[in-house]
Amino acid sequence: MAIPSRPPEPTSALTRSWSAAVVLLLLAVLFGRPGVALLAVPLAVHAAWAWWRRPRLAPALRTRPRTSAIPEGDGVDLTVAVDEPEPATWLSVQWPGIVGAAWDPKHGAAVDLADQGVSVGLEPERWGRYVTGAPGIQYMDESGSWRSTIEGESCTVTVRPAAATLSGGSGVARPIGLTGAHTSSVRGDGTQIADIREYRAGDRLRRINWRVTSRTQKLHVTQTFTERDTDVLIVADTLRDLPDPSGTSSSLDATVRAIAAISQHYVGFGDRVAVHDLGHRIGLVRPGTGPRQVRIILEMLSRSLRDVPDHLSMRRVPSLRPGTLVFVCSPLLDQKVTDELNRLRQYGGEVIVVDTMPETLGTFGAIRHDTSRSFLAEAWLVRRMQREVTVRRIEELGVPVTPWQGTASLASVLLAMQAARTAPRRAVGR
Amino acid sequence: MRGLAETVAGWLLRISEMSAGQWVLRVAIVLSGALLLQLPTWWATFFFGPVLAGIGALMVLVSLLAPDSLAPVGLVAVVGAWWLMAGADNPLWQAAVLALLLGVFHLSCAWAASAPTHGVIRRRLARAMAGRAVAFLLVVAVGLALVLGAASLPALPGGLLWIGLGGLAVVGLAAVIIRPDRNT
Repeated sequence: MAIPSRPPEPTSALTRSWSAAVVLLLLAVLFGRPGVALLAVPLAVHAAWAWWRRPRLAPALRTRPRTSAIPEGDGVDLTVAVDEPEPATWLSVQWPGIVGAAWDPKHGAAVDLADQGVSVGLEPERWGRYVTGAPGIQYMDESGSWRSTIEGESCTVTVRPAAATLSGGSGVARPIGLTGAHTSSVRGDGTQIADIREYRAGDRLRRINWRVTSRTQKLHVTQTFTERDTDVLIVADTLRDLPDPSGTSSSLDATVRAIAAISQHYVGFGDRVAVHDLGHRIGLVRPGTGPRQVRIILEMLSRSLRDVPDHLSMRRVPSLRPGTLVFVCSPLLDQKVTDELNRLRQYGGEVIVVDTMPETLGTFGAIRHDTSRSFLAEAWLVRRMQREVTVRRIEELGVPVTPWQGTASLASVLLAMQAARTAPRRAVGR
Repeated sequence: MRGLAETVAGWLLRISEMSAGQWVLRVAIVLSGALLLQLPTWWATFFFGPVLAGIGALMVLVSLLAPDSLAPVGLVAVVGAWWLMAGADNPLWQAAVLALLLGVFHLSCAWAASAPTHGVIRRRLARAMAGRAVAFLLVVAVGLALVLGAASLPALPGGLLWIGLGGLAVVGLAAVIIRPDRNT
C-alpha cells in the first residue's frame, strides 16, 4: 500500500535565497551600488531554479519487501520508492537502528535519485524475527529548496536458523515404526544381511542364495533385517536463556541450532520428528515427516522469543511412546529438568542429553576477562562445579551427555549407540 | 553545562560519523566561507572589519555543523553589510568573485541540509550533483555578466523614478517566485 504524504514545502535554503536576494537588490537600488546587486545574483538564480523545479505533486511512497524470510547468514535489501517520481527529485531514507542487525551503509541512511528508489541492506547477525521500525524519508527537489518529510512503513524480516546436517549415524538401536531407513533387529524384508540358512517352506523364492546352494547342493536362503522408521522427540529447555560472557551467543542460540540440525538429520531418514518446549520461548511442533516438517520447525525456531523473562513453571512432556529417540537440549541447571529427563527414560525413551550451557560461562577464563565489580563470574564458576555432579549422575543412569559444539557434537554418541545395537547383551542367569 | 556538553558531544559524534559526500559539501562550506571573509579583509578594510570577520567566522562554524539553521543567512548578511559599507570604491570584478563564492557557499549549505550527516550519497546522485553545481555556477556567471554589462551603461535620466521602478521590479519578481501555487 502506498504511503500518502503532503506536497513538499519550502526549506530554509529557499527562504534564504529569496529573502536575501530581495534585501540585497533593494539595498543596491536604494544606495545605487551595483556591487551589492552582484552579490544578490547567485541567490536570485537559486530562487529562480527552485521555482522552475518545484515538485507539484504529493509523492506516494512504497517500501519493499514489507515481510521477508531469509536463511541465517544472508541479508535483504529494503527499498523505498516513489510511485510516479517527478524529474530531478531526490529521496533520502534513514532507517532506525536495530539490536542484533547491521545496516549497509553503516547507519542505515542513504540519499539517491528518486526515479529508482533508495535501497539499504539489512544484515541480521543471528536467527530470529527483526522488526525494522518506520524509516524517516525526505522527498526533495535537486536545488534543495522543497522538501517533504514522511514516516515510512516498517518491515519484518524473519531469519531462519542455519540447519547444518549432523555428521554421524542415526543412533537408532530399536526403531519402532513401520517402514524407514533404520535397520531393526527383526528379520524380514530389508537390505542388510542377517543370516544364510537352509530353505524352509514359506520362504520367498527370490531369497534363494544360489552361490551357497550350488556349493552345498542344498537350497539356502538369505535372511535380512527389516528397516523401519522411528519417532524422534526433541525436548528444549528454554526456562532460562544464559548469555555467553562474550555476549555473542547464549544457551537459547545453542538450543535453536541443535534443534535445527537434529530435526534436519532425522527427517532425512524419514523419521517422525516433534519438538516440545519445556519453557515458553519456542513453542510446540507436532510430529511430522518430510521437508515440510523441517520448514515448519525452522519457522517456529525463527519466531522464538528472546526477550521473555525466565520461567519457573515447566510444561512437561504429556506422553511418550516407548522406543522414542529423545534429545533433551538443556543447560542442566534446573532439578525439574533433570527429573523430567529421568521420567522420559523411565517411559521407555532412548534419551540423549545435548548440553547447551555456554562453553565459557563459569570458567577461569571468564573470571580473568570480567571487568565488572560484581562476583557474578565467580558465582557461575561455583554453579558449574555443582552442575558437574548432576551431569555425572545422569551419565551413571546410562544417559549420554554431550555438549553442543556444532554438527560433529553428536557423532561419537550416535555411532556408539548404533554400534550398541549389535553388541552382545548379558543374559540374566537362571 | 550538561546540556552544552551533550550538544558538543553530539556535534563531535556527527563529525566522526560523517559520510564522504557530506565531507565534500562541508569542506566546500568552510573554504568558500573562509574566502568570503578573507577577501574583503584584503580588498575593503575598514574600522568594523575585524568585528564583522569574527561574527562571520562564527557563522561559518555554525553553518558547518547546522547548515539548515539561520547561520548561512548570517554570513550573507555579514558579507552584504561589509561590501555595502566598505566596497563602494572597489572594482566590480571583486564583487563578482564574492558573488561566485556566495553561490558555492549557499548551494553547499542547501545540499548539506538535504540529508543526515551520516547519510551516504550514492554515486549516481553525486555525479548528478556535480553536473548541477557546474550548471548553476555557469548560470550565475552569465547573470553576473549581465549585471556588469547593465552597470557599465551610461546613467539614464529620471533619478528616483528609476530607483522606484527598480524596487518594484524586484518585489514583483520575488512575488512571482515565491507564489504559493501547489496542489493540496
